[in-house]
Amino acid sequence: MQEILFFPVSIAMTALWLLILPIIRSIEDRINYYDLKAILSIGWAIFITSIMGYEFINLNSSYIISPDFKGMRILDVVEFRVSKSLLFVGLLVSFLFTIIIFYSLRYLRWETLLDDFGTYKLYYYFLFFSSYLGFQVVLFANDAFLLFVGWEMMVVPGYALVSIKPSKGSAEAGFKYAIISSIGSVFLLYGISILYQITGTFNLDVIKSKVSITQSLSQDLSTWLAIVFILIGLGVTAGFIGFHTWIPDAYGSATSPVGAFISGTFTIASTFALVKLVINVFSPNNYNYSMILIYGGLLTMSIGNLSAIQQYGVRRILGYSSIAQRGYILFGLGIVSYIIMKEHSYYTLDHGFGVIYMYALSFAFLEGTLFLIVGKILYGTQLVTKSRDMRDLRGALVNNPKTALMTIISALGLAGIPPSFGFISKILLVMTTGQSGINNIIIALFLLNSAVSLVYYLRIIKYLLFTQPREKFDMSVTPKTVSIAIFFVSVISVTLGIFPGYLTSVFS
Amino acid sequence: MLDIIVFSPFIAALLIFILGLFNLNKELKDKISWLISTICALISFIYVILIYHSKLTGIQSSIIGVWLDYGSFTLTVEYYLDSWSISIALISTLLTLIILFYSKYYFNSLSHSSVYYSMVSIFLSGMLLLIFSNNMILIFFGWETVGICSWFLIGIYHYKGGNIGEKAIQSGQKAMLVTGTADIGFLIAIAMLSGTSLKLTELIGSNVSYIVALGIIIASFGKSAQFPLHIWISSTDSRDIDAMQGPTTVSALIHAATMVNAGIYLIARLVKFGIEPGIYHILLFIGLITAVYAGISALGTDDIKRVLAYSTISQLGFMVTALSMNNGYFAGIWHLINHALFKCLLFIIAGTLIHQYHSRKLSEIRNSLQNPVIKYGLLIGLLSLSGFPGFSGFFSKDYIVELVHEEYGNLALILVMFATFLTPVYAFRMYRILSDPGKVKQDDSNIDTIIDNNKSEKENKLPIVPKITIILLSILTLLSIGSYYYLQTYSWNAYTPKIFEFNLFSSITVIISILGVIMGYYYDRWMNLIPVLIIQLIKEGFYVDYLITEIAKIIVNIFSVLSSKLQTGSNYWNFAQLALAGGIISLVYYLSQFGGIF
Repeated sequence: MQEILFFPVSIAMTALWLLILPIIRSIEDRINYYDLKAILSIGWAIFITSIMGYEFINLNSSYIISPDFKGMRILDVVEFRVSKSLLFVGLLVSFLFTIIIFYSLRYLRWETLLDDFGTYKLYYYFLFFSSYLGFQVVLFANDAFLLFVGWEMMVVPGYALVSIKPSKGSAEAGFKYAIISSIGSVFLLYGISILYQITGTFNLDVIKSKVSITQSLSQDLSTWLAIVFILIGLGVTAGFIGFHTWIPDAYGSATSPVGAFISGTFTIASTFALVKLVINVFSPNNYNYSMILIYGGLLTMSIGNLSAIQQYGVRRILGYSSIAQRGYILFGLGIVSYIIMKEHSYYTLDHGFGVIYMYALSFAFLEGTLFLIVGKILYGTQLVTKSRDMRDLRGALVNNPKTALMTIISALGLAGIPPSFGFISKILLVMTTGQSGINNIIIALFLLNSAVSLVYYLRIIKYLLFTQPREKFDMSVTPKTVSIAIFFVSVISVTLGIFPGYLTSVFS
Repeated sequence: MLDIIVFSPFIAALLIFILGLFNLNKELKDKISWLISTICALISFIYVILIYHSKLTGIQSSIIGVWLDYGSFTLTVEYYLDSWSISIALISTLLTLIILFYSKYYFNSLSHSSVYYSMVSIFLSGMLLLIFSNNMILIFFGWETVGICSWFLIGIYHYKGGNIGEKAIQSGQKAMLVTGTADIGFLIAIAMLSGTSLKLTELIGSNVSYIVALGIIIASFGKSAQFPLHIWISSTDSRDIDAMQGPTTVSALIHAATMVNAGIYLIARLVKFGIEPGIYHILLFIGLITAVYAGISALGTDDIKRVLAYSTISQLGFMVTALSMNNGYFAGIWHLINHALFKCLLFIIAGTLIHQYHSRKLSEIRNSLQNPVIKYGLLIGLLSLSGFPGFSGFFSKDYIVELVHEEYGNLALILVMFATFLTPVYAFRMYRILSDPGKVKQDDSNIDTIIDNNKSEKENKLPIVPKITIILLSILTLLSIGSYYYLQTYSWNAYTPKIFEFNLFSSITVIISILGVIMGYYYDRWMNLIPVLIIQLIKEGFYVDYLITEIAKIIVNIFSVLSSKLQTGSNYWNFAQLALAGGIISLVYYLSQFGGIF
């Protein structure tokens, strides 16, 4: 009973905040204190996180919940599915979200707050919270239509967040993202509608059982159309090769907290959506699409890694690296479905994909840390240079040993090197790949990519940390809150890296 | 007990990190961090000795217990003790202790001292984890940890800025990239083994497949700097981007005595796993090529550290050769221990000379052996290195040569003999240059810049710390002949190694080493006879470093230009790349249809 009482609260509370925010905005005008909504947003984010934490501690088994009114379901499509691992992901992302909101408190004063009365800030928090609301819905939805609604709720504020900075570049990037992603959404919607046409329902469990009962569907063209359309639709955000071109532009021009949020959260969401809509529904035993994911993942990571080598833009390089990391995730999804196909084993939503979830989580945290650090650097060097080129920003962290240490940990973690939990997730991914019995050339190509990625992760470290600066950068102008936020995110990733036992036990 | 050994240096690093959070006086901070790291290394050392004398073997549990648990895969922290792990642990902790002691003298002016001490502590911790753990994943954890420390410590002079700083950074990157690329092999091995078992105890005796063996060998060759992956530890004088850009203490500890042994350690483990006969031949081939190649290249360099670096590579080649033989298991570890001691001694002497004369060029530190401690220390080290009869290197090297004679054909024997001969040649060439009173060169163009090294008495007087270190290491080097008996206290899988006995065959090695010493000392008599072109080739290390770097650059550039064209949105490029991607996929798919080695 307690579970049913508590679960929707985190979603409902996020939605509630969207209603409260405008009211706070009008209060701000009266008392003339424009940080109010930022501070209250932090408090609210902590509140949501603690709800999640409470729920996580008290949850023992997975369950399905649909809000009802005296025994009658209000809406047919609203159905959530909650389990320990999903909640753990939700909790960690919620933590990251809180940190980013906290980070924005002082950071926004510089990069987006041209309008002193805080209109941008209102949009900013509103968009942030609605995107986060969408993420939660995607994470817990057990219904194709609900998932689509959540997906749009998450992605559309993303366009606005990318272009929230009043500059030409970010407007262009946001526009590019909006165009590509809307086309993807249409595909996604069409794929879901074909699913509905085949099975007559939106409920993912029912779809799954109907699809697995009717064997003849695997020869049906429309089933394959559904799979391909959903892959394309989610592939835009998942960075599937061919649809990845928006990523470097968007990350290159979005403000740092937005980059930190979008890169991690959207990747996790697209991973879950792919698992829910494709792999879980169309069992790889009957549908042989694992090779699409494997080869697609390989090409995606190669493109990301090889393009990143040429880059010197401090945020663009992170954008390309995130393409590469999405490639690893797609590859991992392909590998897991290959295992399912080969061994005819049945993996449930929670188990089997744990490696991928872990990888996505570690990516979200480490990439997020790097984005936040880059934000700190840009903030600190604004008086000297407006450039985003690493060669101009060289030596920015020379006199900041603590931030430098966190940069090293996160950058090496993304390359799969200890001590952060990037190492554990990479090793587990490698082990899963090895166990799948897939061709050795594919494994070698995958591992070769991680060696290539070292080149540009080391370059980030080289320029920002080691090379002596041309001019003296005074990083002390950066607010304390920024450093504290960075510290908290890296503490999580290092703790989970040195003591991974809890993390892995949740996902196994 | 093993937990204390492995984690006490790590705790030292943590303490130093916490210390860094307080606003202390810099000198005080450096002193305290030196003290902490030394004490923790000492604790590790004492416990290793205790374990040695308690004769513990087999699996030892840890208080950490289950480290991670994922599905059917459980990783429990366990330690595996046997002759190899305990010997390398002994030598690593001992040398770290000595180096830390010496660093007090060497680093009185380094601005990053406390970082240095914490990194050395983490390095020791990672090394001990690598040596002791019973699980391939934890070994890899330690493997990567020592790699990071090596990368960081090579580049520790980055704060100096300018040319030195840039070189230091690039050298670090190079080391990390080369070893990191080689680590793919380790990951492949882990991936392949993950289906069966990742525990050393379960792997020993279970014949591993070709791919696993090759993967582990590639990773080991990266760490142990075997040809052609040696480029990160020693490039050429003209390129000058290698691990020797780091402080000499780091070169002595990491790139001569401890970390490079990690690869040898892993190959020794791999040999015990049971491998295909073809793998033995790869080991023999690469080992001999490396020994000969590095021996020749050491003749052409004009850098005291680079001579030693090449000689390290060459001696590592000897160890790999030893491990390629059925009975070479003991010879490998014996040579490893001897080598670690005398190479550490040689590097410390080189460091002291560099510290005194502020130059690494042999031609600039001529006639610098006035001090008897340095002179006789250097002599002991070089004689051991050359395998001069009566010194420690002789017995282990002679043992390897005899084993090659027993097990392989004449070609291998000739190569190993040649490598044995080359060692004293380059060693005593260096000694000759250092002890030479400095004949003025024929070209008078830089006559003003010739440094008068007849410094005053005061400058030649050594401070107490390097004096003690050199004397201590010299004694240890002399005593390491006895390591044979020390090592024998552990069982060597029912194989009793034999020590040198004089016969017709072994007299050849005696003659060779004496001849080599003479040839080396009078190098100027015969080196002029070699054509200039070949000398140039030797000086450039046969252009291996150049070729590898340039080819890697070209490949990366081609791909990255192609991929950046995609971002421009031009349709022609998009179609071209679509075709390319399709081609790659179909190629991979086509190749994957073959069975066998793929």
